[in-house]
Amino acid sequence: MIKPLSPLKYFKENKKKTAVIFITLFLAVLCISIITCTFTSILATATEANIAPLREFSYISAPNGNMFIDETVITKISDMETTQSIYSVMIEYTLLKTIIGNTSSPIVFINDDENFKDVFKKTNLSLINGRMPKQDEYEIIMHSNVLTNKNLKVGDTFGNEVDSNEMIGGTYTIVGEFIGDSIMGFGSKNFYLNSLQNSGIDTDNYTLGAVIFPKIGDLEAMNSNLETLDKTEASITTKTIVLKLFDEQTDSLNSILTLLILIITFGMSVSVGALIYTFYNARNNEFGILYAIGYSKKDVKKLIYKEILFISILSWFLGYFASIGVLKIIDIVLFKPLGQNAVLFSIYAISYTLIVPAFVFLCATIPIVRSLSKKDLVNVIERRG
Amino acid sequence: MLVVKNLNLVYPDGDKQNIVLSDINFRINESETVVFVGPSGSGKSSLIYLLAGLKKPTSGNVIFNGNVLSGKNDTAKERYENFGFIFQQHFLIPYLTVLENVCVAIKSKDSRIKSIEILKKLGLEDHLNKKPHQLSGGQRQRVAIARALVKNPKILFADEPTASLDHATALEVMALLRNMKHNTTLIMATHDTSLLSPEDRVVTVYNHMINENLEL
Repeated sequence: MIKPLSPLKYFKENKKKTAVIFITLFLAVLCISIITCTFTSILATATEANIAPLREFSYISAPNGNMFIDETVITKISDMETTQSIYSVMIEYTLLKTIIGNTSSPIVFINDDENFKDVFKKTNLSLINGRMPKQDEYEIIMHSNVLTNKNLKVGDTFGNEVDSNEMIGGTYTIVGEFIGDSIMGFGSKNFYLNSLQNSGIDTDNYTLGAVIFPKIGDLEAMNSNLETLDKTEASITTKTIVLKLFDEQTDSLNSILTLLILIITFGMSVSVGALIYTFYNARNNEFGILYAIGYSKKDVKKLIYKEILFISILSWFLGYFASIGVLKIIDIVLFKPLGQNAVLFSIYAISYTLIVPAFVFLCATIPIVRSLSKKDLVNVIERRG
Repeated sequence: MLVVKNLNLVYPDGDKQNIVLSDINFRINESETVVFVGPSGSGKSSLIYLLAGLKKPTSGNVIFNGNVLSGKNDTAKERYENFGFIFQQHFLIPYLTVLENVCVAIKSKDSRIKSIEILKKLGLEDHLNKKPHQLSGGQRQRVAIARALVKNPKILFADEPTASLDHATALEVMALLRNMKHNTTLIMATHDTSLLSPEDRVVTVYNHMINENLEL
């Protein structure tokens, strides 16, 4: 037998009232969790696409207003204690679709078979399909997630001559597919460099850009050294710099999300709190008789706290776990076809959704308990007698 | 057992004072059945609430077994341990079954056994799992009696316990109440003198006073 004055008993026997409170809280938790996890998933996709390669190497390009990096700068970097190797490259970016917009992913062009193999090996990637691009051929290999995102496969052609929405100029043949942490691509001969050469610019003896690998475990130290370079010497791209840039860009989005969630939570908590208040106000006779037969006001308040806490926690628990189920479906239907993963567990989602039961508990119990403290429960019985 | 000394109850009414009870003194002994009778508004119910510690007097004392009940801010413990209550309305909790309504009055582990036992004695064994709305008026009041008696209270307070019942049912409920109370002291307020028994100690409440002032 369920204890007569237990929260479970009350909500089991008052199904309509329970349903109204439960469904409102359940939906609020479900929506907040889904919105937060989806938002986190999109940010994680964008961050990973841009940050992951920079966990292996850093990148420099010509300073603003210049086409090439001065050779003295290349020598200076090569001579740094923390530098293991430096490779002349050309980096272009391709668009990656997300469920609400686009982000970008780098494609590193190295038109030298030996250097290509070195860079690929040092980036800790594994070729799972096809072969490496050949020197002096317009060939590329891509991460399998990028191929999935673009609905391409080994053997397909790629570039803005094939797809006008593509940012990378020319036509390249996809000759391989790889897996690993870095969501990116690699190519050999580059159309842009070739066009520069055709217009008489000597790109073989000058450096447009370079990837720099640190000595093992020295990435942070290498980046610190690179960041000492003057802006007139080179434009530096390190993990720290990109992360900082991302944080600046996402800060305002995070603030909007937080504000939106607080508005939903506060509005909903006040209305559910008011609803619960009317339900409890209709139970004065019950509280009156309990008081008369020897329950103190403190006991009655404890009963109210327990009931509201019970329904709030139950709604949160079921709402949160239902949201994981919905996110799993969103992952399969929306994220996986784009070569991405939905974040199912997020500390932000847990924190934001926990605000719901906390706010509802406060908005409901404070007025109920205040009203009960002022109320003469004996008078309730006396007037009805 | 229960001693009342110089008890006064006055409600402020604007600039005036509404005297409900004035200078009440008496003693109630163990196992007695004391019935307060009097017209509506005479203060019978208020006197019952004062004696039970549900209300605080304006002045004077209610002393139960040597403890001044009227001086305490919270008498919940005394009410729970020593008193049972029956009101004009049954005040059963609508979403609980008959058995559960009786169980709420007793917090011990054997509450279910004790509740079933008393409900059987009151002829309600076939209604244990029914909700109050499924019972007749007399049955509901019998459940209220069971709730009041389940913890074997030292004093049973009954405020117009039959007022909402027809006369035949009222007599039946009163007979049950007298039969079931055993050694419990019964303090009852009623305006229906046909419910009185020759063994009852009858106290008339009229014009804010009682007709029986015993030497204390």
